[in-house]
Amino acid sequence: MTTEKILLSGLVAPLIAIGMTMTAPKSVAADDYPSSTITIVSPFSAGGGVDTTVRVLANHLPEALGGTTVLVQNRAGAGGSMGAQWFTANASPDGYTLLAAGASNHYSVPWAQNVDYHPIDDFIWIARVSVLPAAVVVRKDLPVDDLEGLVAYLRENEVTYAHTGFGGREWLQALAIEDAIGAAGMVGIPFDGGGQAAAAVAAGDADITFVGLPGAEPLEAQGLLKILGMIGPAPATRPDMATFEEAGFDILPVMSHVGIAAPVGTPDAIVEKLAEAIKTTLESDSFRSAAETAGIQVAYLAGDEYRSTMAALYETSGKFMNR
Amino acid sequence: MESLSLLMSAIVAIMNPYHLSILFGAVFVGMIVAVLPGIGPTTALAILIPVTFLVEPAAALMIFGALYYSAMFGATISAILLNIPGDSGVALSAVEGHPMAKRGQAGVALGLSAICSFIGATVSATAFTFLGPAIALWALSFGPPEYFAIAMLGLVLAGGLTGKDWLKGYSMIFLGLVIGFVGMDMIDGEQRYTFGVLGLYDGIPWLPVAIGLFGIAEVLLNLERRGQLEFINAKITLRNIWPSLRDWAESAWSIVRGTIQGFFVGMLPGAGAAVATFIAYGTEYRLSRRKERFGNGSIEGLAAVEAANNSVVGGAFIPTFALGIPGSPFMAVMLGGMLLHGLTPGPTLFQQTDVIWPFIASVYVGAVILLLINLFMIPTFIYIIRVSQRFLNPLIVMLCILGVFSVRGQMFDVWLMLMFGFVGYVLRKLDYPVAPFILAIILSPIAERALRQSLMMSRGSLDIFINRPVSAMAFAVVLLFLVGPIITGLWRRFRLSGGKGET
Repeated sequence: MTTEKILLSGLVAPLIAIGMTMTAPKSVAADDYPSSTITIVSPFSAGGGVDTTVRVLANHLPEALGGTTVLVQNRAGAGGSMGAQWFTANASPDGYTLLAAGASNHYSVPWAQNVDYHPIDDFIWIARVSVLPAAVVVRKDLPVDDLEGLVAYLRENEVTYAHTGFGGREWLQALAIEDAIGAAGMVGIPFDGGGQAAAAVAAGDADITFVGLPGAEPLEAQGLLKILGMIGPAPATRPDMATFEEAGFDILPVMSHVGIAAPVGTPDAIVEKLAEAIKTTLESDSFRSAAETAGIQVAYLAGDEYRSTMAALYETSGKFMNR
Repeated sequence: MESLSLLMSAIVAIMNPYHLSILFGAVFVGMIVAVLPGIGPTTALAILIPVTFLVEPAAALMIFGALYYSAMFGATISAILLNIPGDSGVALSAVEGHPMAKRGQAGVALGLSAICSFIGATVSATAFTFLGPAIALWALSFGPPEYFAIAMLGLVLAGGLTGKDWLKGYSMIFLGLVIGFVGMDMIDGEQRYTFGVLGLYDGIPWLPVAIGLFGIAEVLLNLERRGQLEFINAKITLRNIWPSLRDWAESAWSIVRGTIQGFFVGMLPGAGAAVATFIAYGTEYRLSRRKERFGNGSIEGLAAVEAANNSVVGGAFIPTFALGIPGSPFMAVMLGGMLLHGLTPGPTLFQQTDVIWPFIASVYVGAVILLLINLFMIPTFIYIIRVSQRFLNPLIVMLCILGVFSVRGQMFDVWLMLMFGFVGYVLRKLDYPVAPFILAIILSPIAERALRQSLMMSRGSLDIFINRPVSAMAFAVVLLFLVGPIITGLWRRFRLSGGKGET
């Protein structure tokens, strides 16, 4: 390359860039997407499981999107459905406003509340980032030591379980178990959040609950409760943990499939670009190590499969919620 | 004592520019963030957690703690000066502190609060140090029946706050209880008084109601007066900032009682700062000989509340650190942050001397920093309000709107706040007390949930409330508070009639 050519390209390239920004309107051009800040709406308060996943993703996504800033905005309320409803009503389909999706506001809550959005069809499911499986936790003096023992016990005895409210994950999980194994009777007691549900089991005020592993491990370490296994996949930190699936029980795992969704009408090219960027980010070492410290169980799933997973969970939930 | 020498050496160890500047930054940010109502320590913490990866775990823990206690005081500042309680733990600080500010004693109210906060934070940190792991299990023994007893205790004490006109007071309590009924029933999912409005599914949110009743109603009353707020004209002299010896004498025992109550209630994951302040405040009212001053800027009321809401800090750390059970949204976020830094809760955490001692030391040092900052900041805040008095009303409204919107990002909450602003105005004009109303709104869901949980545990039998030792004891206290005043009243009448005959 001659000196003139280098000089010339150095002069021309910025001119072309300026010309492109002047002629192409921001909203329709997928070629220069993203050209401004991307906002991910988190429909829960800051600090929860969904929120943590999406904040770690937002920190690392810019690397795959040419340095574009990615912000997280919390719009909490009504079990996540206020944020999702706001999103379907207000987010422009231009790829600059995205939703942290896949929690109970997409499978169980819409069956209990009158929401103005369809939990599956009103979103373009871009990619799943992580799953939030729960641990099966029982009080320390319940005479069972593994999942098989628990199932046998549940078939014979009436128990109480701690949940976090009607339509919540723990509540639905208990119904799914009851239905799958033919339990003698499970009485739900509502608590204000997973921490207090775990505390109730540790204190012996309830027999069983289903909470995230980090919430139960400190209590398990002190012998205040027993963790029998996992619903859904075993986490990387404890790969030897038993699961219902391995134990041979066909029980629907009720859990959040945290991922990113876009408003219906977003151009395909932008959706593809985002899907590619998320995939690249999830494979990057920097994201992997950040997710590991944060205890995020990374579980990538492409858009189509993500959508069908959520649709199946929504349908099955409806079967229980409508009873 | 070994612990004492460990603590002293830890305090000496963190007295270096690096740790001091981290602490100063966290205290300052926590305070400023909480002066804006609604943003609060939880949001600040969630946003700051990624930043804490720049420092080692021990220093991160210092930041978490500093944000909490400094934010509690920051919320007090706007509660006292502007009558905007941004956190349920400072609602009663507004009730007592703002009338003081209007009398020209803004400095005294803030100064007293700063020192009460200092005492509350340091004493509870000491209790946390020495009692921590040992009494964590005691907190677990508080189940639904015990929480029901505590909520009842709060309501019985609220009955004492009704002021001159008990009928108005009790109607406010019942109105508050009814407002607490709104929302989705957590057991069967029934929609109660939501009229299909999505914003009401979680119940009527507390913050918009409180900010409306206090902040917006205050602005409406200001507009009516057309004049300036009295406290703006009060001179800032040392006498106006530093509580006098008489103030101390009047509030010393209130601070002691508030600190103890705050610590123990703070330990209970299901209660929280608001309940602690209600119990401390109600106790002071019962014990006070100058009941007429409550609600009009009572110094002992404010002292008890401020000592309690900061003493909650040390108590609340116990279940979080020892059991991994977070008692509040802040503690939940902090727990998440601790896990990110590889700090696993449990008794072993108390044995990680390189983490736990610097943390405890930082509470002492941070409390001193907070106190020092405020000796300079209090006059500044009062000065800012004085120079901006022409814009004070719009400024308050703007702060209220921003604060309420920032919590959930919902315009619905802003409309709710404005509506309760008008409600608050009418209530104030008609002389209805606001404190019992706010108290009942917070206690109503706690009481309902605890009652229904207990009855589900016992399959419908009321025996559960007296069969459990802690619950039985708590109900004995409730009974004492309920029957006590009646008996003392009868006794007084008996003695009077014995001396002078029927009058």
